[in-house]
Amino acid sequence: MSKKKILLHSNHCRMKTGFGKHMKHLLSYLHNTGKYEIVEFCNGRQWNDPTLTTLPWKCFGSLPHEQNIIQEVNADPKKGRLASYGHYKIDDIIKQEKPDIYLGIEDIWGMEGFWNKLWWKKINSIIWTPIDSLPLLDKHDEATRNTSNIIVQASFAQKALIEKGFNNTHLMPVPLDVSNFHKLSKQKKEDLRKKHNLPLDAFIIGFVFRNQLRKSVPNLLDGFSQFLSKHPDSKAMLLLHTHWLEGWDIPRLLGEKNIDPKLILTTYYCDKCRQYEIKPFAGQDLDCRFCGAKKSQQTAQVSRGVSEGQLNEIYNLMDTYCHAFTSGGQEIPIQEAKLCELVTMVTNYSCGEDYASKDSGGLPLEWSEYREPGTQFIKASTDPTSICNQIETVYNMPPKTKSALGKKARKFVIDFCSIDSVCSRFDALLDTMEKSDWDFDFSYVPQDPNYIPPEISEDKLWIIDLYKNILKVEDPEKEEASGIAHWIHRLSTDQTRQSVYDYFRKVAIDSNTKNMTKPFEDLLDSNDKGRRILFVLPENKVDILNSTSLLKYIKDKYPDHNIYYATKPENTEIVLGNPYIHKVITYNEVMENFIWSEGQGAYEGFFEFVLLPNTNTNKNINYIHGNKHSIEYDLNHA
Amino acid sequence: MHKLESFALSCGSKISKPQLNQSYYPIKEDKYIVFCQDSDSPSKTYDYFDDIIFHIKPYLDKKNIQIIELPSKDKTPLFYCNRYPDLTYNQANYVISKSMLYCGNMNLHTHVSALLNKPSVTLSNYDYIDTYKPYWSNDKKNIILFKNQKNKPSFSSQEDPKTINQVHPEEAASKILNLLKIKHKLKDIKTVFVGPEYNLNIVDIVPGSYDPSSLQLDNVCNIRMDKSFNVDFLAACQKIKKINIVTNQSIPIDILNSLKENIKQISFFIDKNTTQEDVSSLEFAGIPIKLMSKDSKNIADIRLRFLDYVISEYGQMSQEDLKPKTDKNLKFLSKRNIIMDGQVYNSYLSASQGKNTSSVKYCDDFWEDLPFCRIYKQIT
Repeated sequence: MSKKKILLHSNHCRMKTGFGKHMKHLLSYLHNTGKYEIVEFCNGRQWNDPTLTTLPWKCFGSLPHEQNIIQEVNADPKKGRLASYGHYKIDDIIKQEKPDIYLGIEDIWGMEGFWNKLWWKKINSIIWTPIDSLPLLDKHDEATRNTSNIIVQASFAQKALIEKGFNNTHLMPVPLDVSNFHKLSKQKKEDLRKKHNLPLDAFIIGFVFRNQLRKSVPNLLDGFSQFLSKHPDSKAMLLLHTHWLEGWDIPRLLGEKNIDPKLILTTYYCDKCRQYEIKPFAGQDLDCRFCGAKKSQQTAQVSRGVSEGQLNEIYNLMDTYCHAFTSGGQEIPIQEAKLCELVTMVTNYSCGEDYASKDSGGLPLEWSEYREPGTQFIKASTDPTSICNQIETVYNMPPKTKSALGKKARKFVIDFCSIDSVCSRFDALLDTMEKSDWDFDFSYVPQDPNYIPPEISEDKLWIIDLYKNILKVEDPEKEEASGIAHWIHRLSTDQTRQSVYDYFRKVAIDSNTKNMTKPFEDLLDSNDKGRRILFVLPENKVDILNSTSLLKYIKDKYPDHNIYYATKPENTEIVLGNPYIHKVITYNEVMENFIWSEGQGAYEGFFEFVLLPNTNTNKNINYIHGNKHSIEYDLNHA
Repeated sequence: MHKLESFALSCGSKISKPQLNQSYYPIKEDKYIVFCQDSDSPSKTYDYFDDIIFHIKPYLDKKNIQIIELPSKDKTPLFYCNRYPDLTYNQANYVISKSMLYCGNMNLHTHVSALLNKPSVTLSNYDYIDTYKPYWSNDKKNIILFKNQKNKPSFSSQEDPKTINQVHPEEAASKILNLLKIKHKLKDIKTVFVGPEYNLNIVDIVPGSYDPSSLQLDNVCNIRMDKSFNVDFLAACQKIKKINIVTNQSIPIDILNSLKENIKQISFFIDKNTTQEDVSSLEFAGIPIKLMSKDSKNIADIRLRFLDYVISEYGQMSQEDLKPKTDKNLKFLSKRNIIMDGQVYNSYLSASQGKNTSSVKYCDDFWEDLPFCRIYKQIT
């Protein structure tokens, strides 16, 4: 029996992004099982990028390579965004590779609309997406309703989906390479503190983060300040491993909160010798005490940062770890800190719910709700007093308890997030899926928005009837199990049959509108290739009438060619029946791009040439000439 | 350079004649001319086609020539015109081909009539006609009317005031009759004043002892309680669906509540004697209120007393605004309808005389009419 073919769609596995690392671990694991025929479909790379041929599996970029499409997407930021998420090539890769399983790992808006594609329910489609805030978006509902399997990275997101009646959800965090992070011996820890001139008896609270506004730095400083007031002899220090030139203005916050800057440590990284140093913040471009280079030290940042091994050392300089944030998808530093057996304090919201729990060896930080302007998402404002209290808890914790909690934390991460743990669960999920028996026939079956359902008393049967007869789903119980469950739930909670029926009708109308349009080539004759002229004039009526006076000359000059006249639908009656026009076609602004029309390089285009009469009259009025300058030569043609 | 020549240069082509198709349409009129109000933009839309028709109609009637108006989007139909609202482009071409003349804004039909060798009078807002006139036109037969300006064209889709409206209706009417070879006396007519509100079709209802329930009116009507304060009459206006009450006294709340669905606005004239309670009592009905005052002398004091409200000064026109100070030959046209004592008048001047008149009379009643009038001089 042949292997299952799986198409994995996300950032390229060589990219150092969260999604990129996710792909790297997952692809490597699945490849090593030997069970699958793997195809990577990666965002951010062009379809035929030659570097993609040097991977152990098949790989294609999701950015279009066709010149005409490149021109189109470059001219329009919205289209560019869609192209970057693979919307222009997704159907091509499905047609070409015919996978049994599609897996998209991306933010939900990057995949928007995929679930309405013809192939989506014909094969096993899986979405693996981060959800970091409540309430859920309509897009989440729509995707979950239309997808057989949704994987989320945090249990709070899964809970929210289940509450909405979705039972097709799975909880799997991003797989994490746990081999780089571990607790160092006591001696090594002391040596590290000595190396960085840190007191052996200092109580160091750490926070590793990208300096973004969603990281609750002011709240942490307030909590730290409260702790210092309560325990002035604690020798407490706060290590902020972050870049100080972006996000929060930390020096200013320290001044406002009256915190001694000497108690705030940070990581400096030297570009020259690639060594790091932990010391109080003293600006940027410092001299490196290890290699002697001048102005080579800067606070650690994403593009110029410490290695994983060095980061492990930094965690081992800490006595505890505190992660206060407004919301987050997974927050890898929490897991890294746990792997180093640190007691972790985490805001008990969003993915923090998983890492603040007792089972995870964490301590929860209390928070209050605020709403993000614009999105209305619930965000957490972490309570500084709770931060203070939990720091105090760790400060007063007996070493034995602390050690036991640290070990528990490490075990939790290995069980919950390690590559083996996550990927084996994913592999098990794939085992439940059958090979697709679809023939990849992309011809569209028109849906029927005018269908009137018969009297059916049972909700489930009534919904199945709608799927079958309005949306033309062959086997709804197989292809639409999650949708059926969802609608049964909605009918028992907040929807009427009429509103559900209206929704199905709307879906059918939208689908027909979208899918029943013909490809452009179908508008052209098949036997006049190489003999086509495109004449483009979208409006206005007077111009269109007058423009017909130019066609005789063109036809006289190119008698074997066919003139295709492109204009807006409301103007077609002016040119219909014109003896020089072969066909009137509907105007589209892409026609004004001569590369699309005439071709470039290997791209042949559709026409021999395109005529754009309004070039000097439409966007730039370059013909009035003050009503002074007239043409002296004869433009008349008999 | 003509726009079409620019097209030809862009395409590397030469210019022949355009292809024009026609479809038969059964026209009941024998002899007729065609009007069309279609245009590209508001600045290219002439507002006084009704006046042109007013001037030519008597002459056309004598020759049994009728007027057909071609369909145009979002325009109020012209007076005295027969309409074929569902004509296609090709049918409209046919209708023009059988007509004696075309008159309208600069639009597709202007070019079609020139192509069909039909006489035409077209109104325009700028004089660079060599860049946009029908390419196959004959300057003597296809007349484009515009007002010569000191400034260069605005090339704007919106103008205030509109340049195109500076063409006087009698000029266009005169050109039409000349092209039709009909003798006329329109050279004896000259527009001397056009009021700023002339183009508004307003209905004023002055309360009286007649029954308002028989009035079938679709547009917004002003019930002029300031002219005749009659609460019983107002209460009987239930069948008028869009009411603007104009008053200078407060109105009982129960009357307002009974008409609440129909009242769009209350325009309240206030003066130095108006109290806060008068205004408040109107506000209780929850209907939009517009406060105005005719008392220009005390307007500052009134505004101070009603500081929380926007009070517009209702500037009345006077003899000063009409340039010919006294002239016995002045006539006026108004699109305003005054319903008073069950009769319909064209002005308060006519209402005061109890019969419709078109002769200007220098009196207070007429100065109130002035913003709504076009005044022309007719040499008898």
